[in-house]
Amino acid sequence: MEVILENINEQDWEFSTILSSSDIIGITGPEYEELLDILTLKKLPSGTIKIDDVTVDNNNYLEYYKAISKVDKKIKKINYLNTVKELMNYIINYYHLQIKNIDKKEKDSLKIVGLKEDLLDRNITSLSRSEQKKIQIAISLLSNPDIIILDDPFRFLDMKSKKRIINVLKKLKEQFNKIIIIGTNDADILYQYTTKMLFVKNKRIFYEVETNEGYERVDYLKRNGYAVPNSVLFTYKAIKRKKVKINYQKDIRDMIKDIYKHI
Amino acid sequence: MKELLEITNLTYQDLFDDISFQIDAGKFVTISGGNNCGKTTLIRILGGEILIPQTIKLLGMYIEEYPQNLWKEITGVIIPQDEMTFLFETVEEELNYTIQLFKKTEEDRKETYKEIIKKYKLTKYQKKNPNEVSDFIKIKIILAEKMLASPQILFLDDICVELDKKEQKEWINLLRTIQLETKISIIMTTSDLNIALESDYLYIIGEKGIILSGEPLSVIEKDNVLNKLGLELPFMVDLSVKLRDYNVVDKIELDIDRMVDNIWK
Repeated sequence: MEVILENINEQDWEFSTILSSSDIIGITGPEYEELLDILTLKKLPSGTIKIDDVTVDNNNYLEYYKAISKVDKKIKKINYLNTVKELMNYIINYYHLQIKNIDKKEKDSLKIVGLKEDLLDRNITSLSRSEQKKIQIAISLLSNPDIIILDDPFRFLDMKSKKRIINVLKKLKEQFNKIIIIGTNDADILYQYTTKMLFVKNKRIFYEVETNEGYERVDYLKRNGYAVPNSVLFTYKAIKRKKVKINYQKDIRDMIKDIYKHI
Repeated sequence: MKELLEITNLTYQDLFDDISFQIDAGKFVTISGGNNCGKTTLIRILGGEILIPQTIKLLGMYIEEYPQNLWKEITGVIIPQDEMTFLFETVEEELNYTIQLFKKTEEDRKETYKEIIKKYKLTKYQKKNPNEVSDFIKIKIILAEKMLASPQILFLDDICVELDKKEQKEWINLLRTIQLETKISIIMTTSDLNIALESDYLYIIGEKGIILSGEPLSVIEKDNVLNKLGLELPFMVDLSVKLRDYNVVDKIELDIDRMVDNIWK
């Protein structure tokens, strides 16, 4: 799946880019949340948008709007909804989702993110922050979206949960051709889990690059105020200060082996 | 030194099974563990929100023996997950309302207000609505108000997870400043071991209760135990521990430049 955005002009933002399901896309920078919002197509921006070669216009854009799911930073509390099940039912009704067996779909969506089905009857406010986060991701999957936009999805999750969620996202991308977009200012997460990066600044896409290549340009990133992952910084300093020929590695065990070879 | 907080045979639901520990006065203590290990619940129990009689003693007296209002004055509890709502339209009014409850003279009130704005870095927010500012600013306002009662102990539930790296640094510095000035004890949960490194003492909660405790660095180097709980080691600790296994370095090094120098002399 591919979304081509050309000369988009919205809320003072101006940009062109291509979002594809062959990447896990990361977005970072001081105003990344604004770009995530524009990408949800809540409002049709000026410019050209093509989704798999079909031009999105006023006649068909609601259809696409429904195919986009956004996982917000935090769960929104809706006053009269108490349990997880009530919230899920509300979402299903609100978006008129056509689901044959609602009960099964709800239980399955919890299972995917690693939660037990008895959570359905729990009060949302009684859940821990990590459970709430996983519920949000489970809800975003109910509509079977084509594009999933996640705002800071790994905050509140420990390493085990992070790995589980990233595997779910990878599977959605690889087996079901979904477009996955992760917005956050956590450089370590973006370096670990994305394959393409959009560095944003002053309401523009400032630097669009393959993730490894982008993060290895340490001086450039630092000069422009972006955080650099610790593992990259270490390797960068070793190469620059000691002229050793180690490579940038994402897995710390590969890094150790590389260091061991070069001492 | 007398123990400030003494927890004896705490058992609660399936989270804690007969745990006991003491916390000394004047320390900055962190408590960590994986998702759903009971961090927030423990803060609710220690802060007296979930009352378990005959289990928790503060300054030698059980929680339930304190009169309610006295208990509220000697402890400050902040749980960011719970709703943070304010009564007033501006940060200035909000703070001044609380200040006049504790300070008698006009001069004293003005002085206190000025100090708070400076110490908590709230200058830019004085005229803003406290219900509309970022979570970090809300948390700082709540802390400033709690500190006016001169509590002896603060219970803080994983606040750093709500903050970005820069805010985390400011928050830790703020806590350290307050601690220096007031000798207050701080008990804070955290899911981030980088934060735990900044504290004086660290407890790790496992399946049924505390499984590791000690000076933070000595706890955090136990990578196998921590990984099993789902905790991530701070990058430099992880690197040090693994390089030590290969006999490349002999100690934990937290500074990247010094580490590079240690490996390639």
